[in-house]
Amino acid sequence: MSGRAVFTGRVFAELEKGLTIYARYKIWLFSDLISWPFWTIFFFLSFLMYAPSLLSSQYHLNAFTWSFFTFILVSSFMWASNFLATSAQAGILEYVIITGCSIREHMLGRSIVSFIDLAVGGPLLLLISAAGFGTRLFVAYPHLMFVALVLASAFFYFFSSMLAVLLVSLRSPWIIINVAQFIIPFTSGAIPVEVLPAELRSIITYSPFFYIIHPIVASATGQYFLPPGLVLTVGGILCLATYLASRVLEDVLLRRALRHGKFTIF
Amino acid sequence: MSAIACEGLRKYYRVKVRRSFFNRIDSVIKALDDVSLEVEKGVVFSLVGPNGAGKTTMVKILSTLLIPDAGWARVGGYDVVKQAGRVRRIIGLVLAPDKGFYTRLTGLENLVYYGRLYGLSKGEATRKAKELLELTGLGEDGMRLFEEYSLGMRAKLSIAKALINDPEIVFLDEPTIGLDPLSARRIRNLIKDLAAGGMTVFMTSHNMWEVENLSNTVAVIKSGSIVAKGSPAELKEKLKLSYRVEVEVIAESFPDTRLPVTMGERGYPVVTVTTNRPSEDLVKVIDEMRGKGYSIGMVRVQEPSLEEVLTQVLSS
Amino acid sequence: MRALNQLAGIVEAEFKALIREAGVFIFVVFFPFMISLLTYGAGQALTGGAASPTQWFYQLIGFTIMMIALTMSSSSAWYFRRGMMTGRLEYILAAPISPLTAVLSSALTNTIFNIAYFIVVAAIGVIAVYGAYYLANILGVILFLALALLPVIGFNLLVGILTIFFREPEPVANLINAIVSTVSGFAYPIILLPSFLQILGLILPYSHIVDGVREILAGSFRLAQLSPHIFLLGYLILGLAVFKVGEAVYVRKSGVHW
Repeated sequence: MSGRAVFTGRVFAELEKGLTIYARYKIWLFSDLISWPFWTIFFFLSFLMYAPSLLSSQYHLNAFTWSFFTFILVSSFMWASNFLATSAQAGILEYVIITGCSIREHMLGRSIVSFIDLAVGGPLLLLISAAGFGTRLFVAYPHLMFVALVLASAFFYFFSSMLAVLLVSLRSPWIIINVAQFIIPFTSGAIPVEVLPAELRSIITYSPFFYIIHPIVASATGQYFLPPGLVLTVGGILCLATYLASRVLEDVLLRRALRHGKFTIF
Repeated sequence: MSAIACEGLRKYYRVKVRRSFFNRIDSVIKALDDVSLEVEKGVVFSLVGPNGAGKTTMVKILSTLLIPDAGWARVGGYDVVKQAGRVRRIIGLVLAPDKGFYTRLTGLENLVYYGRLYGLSKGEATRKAKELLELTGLGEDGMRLFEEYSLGMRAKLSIAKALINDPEIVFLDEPTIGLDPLSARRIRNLIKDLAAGGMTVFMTSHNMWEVENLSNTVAVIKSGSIVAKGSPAELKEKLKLSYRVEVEVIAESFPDTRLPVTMGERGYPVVTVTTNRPSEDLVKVIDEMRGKGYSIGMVRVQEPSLEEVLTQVLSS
Repeated sequence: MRALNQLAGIVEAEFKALIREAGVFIFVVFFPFMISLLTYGAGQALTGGAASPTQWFYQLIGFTIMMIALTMSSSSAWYFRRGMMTGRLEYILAAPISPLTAVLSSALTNTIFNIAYFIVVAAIGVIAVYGAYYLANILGVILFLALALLPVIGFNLLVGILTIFFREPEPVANLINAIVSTVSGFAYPIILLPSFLQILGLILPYSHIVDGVREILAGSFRLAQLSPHIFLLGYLILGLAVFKVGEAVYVRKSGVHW
């Protein structure tokens, strides 16, 4: 079998495995479907407690809906970072390496679940926002939104692979993931830039995540803080850099594992 | 060409020893220390030794999961460090039999998954997996979730997984652990069949009876060094382990002899001799008893077991 | 006496296991600050700087009680999952000890841990917003929580039985946590919710707990406000009853191995 066919076979094996595991227990799907609406209401109101009057502003409701959309995106991918530690603890990772499969390919099985989470949770959020809070949803630049979503999915897929390698040896990686899933989006453009105080606006542009998260919210509201071309180009470069960094880290992890007999980067 | 060869293998681990909450000291564990060995093609080779002697480290190095600090190793003619990819294609591996599988997938799904990672198409992987489920005796249990498996079923699935890619060499770390006697016999027969079919089997086990019955060659490892190696018969010969000769004498009371006598299970005295020349001494005891007018009942010559070999080697 | 001895033994073992997970403690202390400062920052942005420290404190206390609620339901679910996976639950059932004693001991450990955690977070918050003078009110909260968390133990026994039934702790805990967090007024007054969710919030024990804690800290709590908590003890009775039935009907009939 050719190298390309082997690679394709592995990718399909990982995807099928991820889907089978996800679909095996209906309680997971049921829990996801019920939890998302509740969490959405919770986060909406946690922010809007400070300014309940904004519940009557269609612009802000739309902007915040997309803010939470970015949270779902980041959160879905961040939880995939837990996977490698679990796989190593279960003794699966060693066997996978023996087959010649790379860590990157192995991660795909979990990432497909992130994509499903996003595919289910994202539209559900939009639906709840529209039905529950009366939001009239709109996207000012649909074509830019498409690019931003593709870019963000790719970026966070690579980023979660990178994080997975860094967290592989931790006993409780979920702690870091749990914190990061909130900090990353809400300090890097999930909150519409135009509602931030002037001094904060320029600070958040120093966060690399800004160039990935801001385009989603800005494409919906139409309020790009920097020229869209610039933001998306930097986002693309960051995506490539994250991809390269994830590859380097995986190689380092594998080398260290072979040298020390333990999966750890530190 | 040997199936497996290595020379001067060394692997040290640095570990932190916790003496108290604040006091930790660095310590070095010599997992392997200058190990050299050679395994012929198509044989069953067993590595035995106490816990922590270096068996799993050896298996991990030979299966490319660990890089040695010094020395070299070749598996199937390929260097385990420089040609790890090639080695991986021709080996099968069982490490801990209860690990390495997705709990929420069935046995069959787990096997198909690994088969596909090895590059088999889905159809091929499914066919091969079903064949292996039958071969290992899992059969219909292959449709059950792994999390519902007993330890024995997990061990069988591990062996099936090790064979999914039709390997030339398999590494089995305690392959029959947790298996019931019938299943263990099935796996032992399978191992014999694999070797008869030309596959090289490198195994570790704590079951000395099993090792003795299966292995062409046995190596004893202690504190990271090979301390004895040979066929089970050669090891017994080399260590000059004693045979036990028992001669039952049909008599009401203990016979008049300077040899040790005990009361046997059937109620007759038994003359017992421990010797390195069992045939000669057996004849001598029988002649002496007959010369004194006793009838001989049952005669038994007990060969030293591999367990005794191991005990002697490890305690020396 | 023997049951007390067993209880003390389990609490000690569970507590040792718990304090070795230092990361968890750091996380639960860090989380309410992180999330409340995040929403406070967003609030400042949304209101043009009009968000007040008392609003932040309102959320800080809410998120702290929320963390207690979440860790108690999650650890309850995981207690059963780990017990089933490792065979510990079977050993407990086979031992000359009431399974209820074992489960309650674990819940008690969590309660002690959570009260300790609350003291740390609330002390920082009280000093920051009201000043050190109000620290004494925390003593009142400790007494209050010792009573008010009893229904939560009962509630989580129900969660535990659900875990045994579905065999998956994570989705069960996620679902319960999402509902409890949304309807219990941790981060906002429940008046902002649709009416059916407000009713659900009032039925569950947490909104009463978080309101009580806030009032004690502000020095405006009256003893009469304890009355709903007496009724909420029904959760403890219900939890114990369901657990007994669950143990007899489900656990022994179907087995609790994983």
